[in-house]
Formats: sequence, C-alpha cells, structure tokens
Amino acid sequence: MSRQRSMEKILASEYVSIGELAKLTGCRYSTLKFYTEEGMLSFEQAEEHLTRRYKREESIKQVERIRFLRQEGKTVPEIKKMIAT
Amino acid sequence: MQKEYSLSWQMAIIGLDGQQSSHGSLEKRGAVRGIAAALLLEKLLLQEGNSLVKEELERELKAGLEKIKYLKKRDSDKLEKEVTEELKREGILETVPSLLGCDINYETAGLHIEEYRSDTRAYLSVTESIRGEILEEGPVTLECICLLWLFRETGCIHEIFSVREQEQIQSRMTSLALADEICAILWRQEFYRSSEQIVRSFLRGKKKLFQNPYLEGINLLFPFLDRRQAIFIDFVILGTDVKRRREAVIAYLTEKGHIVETVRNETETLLKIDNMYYRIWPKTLVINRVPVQGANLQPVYR
Repeated sequence: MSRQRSMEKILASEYVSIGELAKLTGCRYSTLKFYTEEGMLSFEQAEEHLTRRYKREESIKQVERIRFLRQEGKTVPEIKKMIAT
Repeated sequence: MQKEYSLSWQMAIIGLDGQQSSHGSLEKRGAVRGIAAALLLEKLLLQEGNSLVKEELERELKAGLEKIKYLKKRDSDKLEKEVTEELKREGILETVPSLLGCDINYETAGLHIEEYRSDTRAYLSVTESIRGEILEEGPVTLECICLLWLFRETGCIHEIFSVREQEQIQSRMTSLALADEICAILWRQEFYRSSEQIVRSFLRGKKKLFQNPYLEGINLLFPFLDRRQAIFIDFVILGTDVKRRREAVIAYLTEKGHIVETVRNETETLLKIDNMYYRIWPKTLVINRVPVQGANLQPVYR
C-alpha cells in the first residue's frame, strides 16, 4: 500500500491530488470538486478511473483567484465567464 | 506553509474538538483511546524501516489494542494532558468556554464549562485531505486507511462523512481489504468497549433514521449521547426580524469567545460555530409560566 507524501515532496512536485490541493489551499474538498466540475479548475487524468492530477502552482493560483473574486462579491457564473475569457 | 501532523495529532485535532476539557465524558474517553491507538499504529505500521510480518503485526496490534480498550482513567487523563499541552504549544488547540454553557439552563445555574477547540485550518486540513483521498478514485494511502479506522472506532466518522459517503467508504474499504492484507488486518480490529457499542449502535441507527435534517431534534431528548448538543439561548428583542435575532445570537456567542459565521445552505442560513454547523430558529420556552424568547441551535451533520 502506498504512503502519504510528505509536505516537502508535495511542494516539490509538479502535480498534486485533490486531497493535497485541499491541504495546500485550505479549501474544502467539495468546493474544489465543484470548481473542477464547473470547469473552473483544470486537471489531467491519464485514464477514466485514475486519480485526477492538478498542476500544483497553476491550481493554487487559480483557487486563490476564485477566492478573491468571491470575496469581491462575484457570482460563480460571473467568475466562470471571467476565467473563460 | 501548511504544517504536517502525525497520525496521533490528526486524531486529537478531530477527536478532541468540541469535547469538554474540564469534565470527563464517554466520547472524550473514546477520543483519547483513539489517540493511544494512533500512537500504536505510528510505532507498528508507519515508522520507517518497520518490517513486521503480517502475523506478527496482527498479534502485536491485538495485544496493544486490548490494553488500550481497558485504558485506566489515570492513564487516559495523563495522555490527554500530554497531547493537549503539545497541541496548545503549537497553537493548534485551545480551551474556550463550552457552547453548552451558553444554554439557558447552564447559564442561569452559573455553571462554567470549558471545551477544546481545534484550529480551523488544521481541522479542515485533516478532514478535507482525507475526504479528497477516499472519496476520489485512485490509490489510497496507508495513513488514510489508519485515520479512517480510527474515526470509525471513535465515533468521529459521522461528523466528517454524510450517510451516503459512509456507505461509499464501506464498500471501498471492503474492496481494499480484499486486495491488501494490512488493510484487512486493521479493518478487523476494534478497541471500543462493548458498553459503548450500544450507544454507538443507537447513534448509527438514529443517524440513518433521521436523515431528514428537520428531524434531528432527537438530540434534544438525548443530548448526552452525542458529541454535540442542541442549546437554547434566551434574549429580549421584540418586534424584530429573523436576521436581527440571528445577529443577536452571533453577538452573544462571539462575546462568549466562540468563532461564529453565517453560512448559506441553499435556502437557509446556518451558523458555523467554531468547527461545527448549527441550524438556528426562534423559539419561545415557557419556564414557570413565564414565556422566554430565544433561539434554538441544533447540530447539523453532513
């Protein structure tokens, strides 16, 4: 059985899992899942039943951006539009 | 940078949150036994270079858990003190006035009760990373399995996962146990006492029975059976709207040292008090024929 990656290893890797992203951003798993399903957070998946992998730096920045926009009072559809453009 | 926590600390952050620090309780004793079991797992399973064969591991685990199951009060108190002092030094745990102490009956009786409160970021880091791992497809780590097992044994699991998620985890764990011997060994072990099993079975039954969130009022009848309690706060605000009344409760709880924020949940507004969610609604109690206006706070589970 595999072992959990240390924070040092997580911070050195290019990709992280959703659980690790939750740990890094302090964001809820359900929120990250929602952002992913709404297309606000991009991921890579080798095959259908394999773990979704998120680009660490890019995803952290994206979560912070969404969080900032939410605090500014923007709605999710508005943020989605802003991300798409 | 987000801190890393050992298994025993993770167990303590979740298990002790909201537990009375000044008094003993069935649930707190369960949480302390969970911390003891986590320390055992750190030694037997998670230590680098530990290569126990499966039979040896099962034997040592069983022997260790048998001792933990009957952990004496003195030893339990000692362990609780040691762990909580470490966590307090790190700023992950603090002692605050208990939410139960804000209830009209406790408040007017002048009872001062204190409880532990885990740091919100640390609490979320533990719960959300485990949720992200077990509820997603892909490999599951040994640390995640250990933590799930500890939460199952200490009754914390229903605070982190919804009923549907618990069923999903159950089927996932069954397939993991079939594929991995260590996982199967761990999943077979138990360390809760049979006397507590009755309470736990009742809680499980209650949770399934009262999936409708508006029927969680059974907590009012059996508050001692749960890790969280429903409370009633009295106030005098006449002719105001729901929002003003809610604000009065928030101001009162904040004054008492709690961290309170409002959270929208579809059409209703919940209160997040420390690390837990509560439903709030205005209520009038009649005490000695005198109507007392106030608000009721009811724990909300996932």
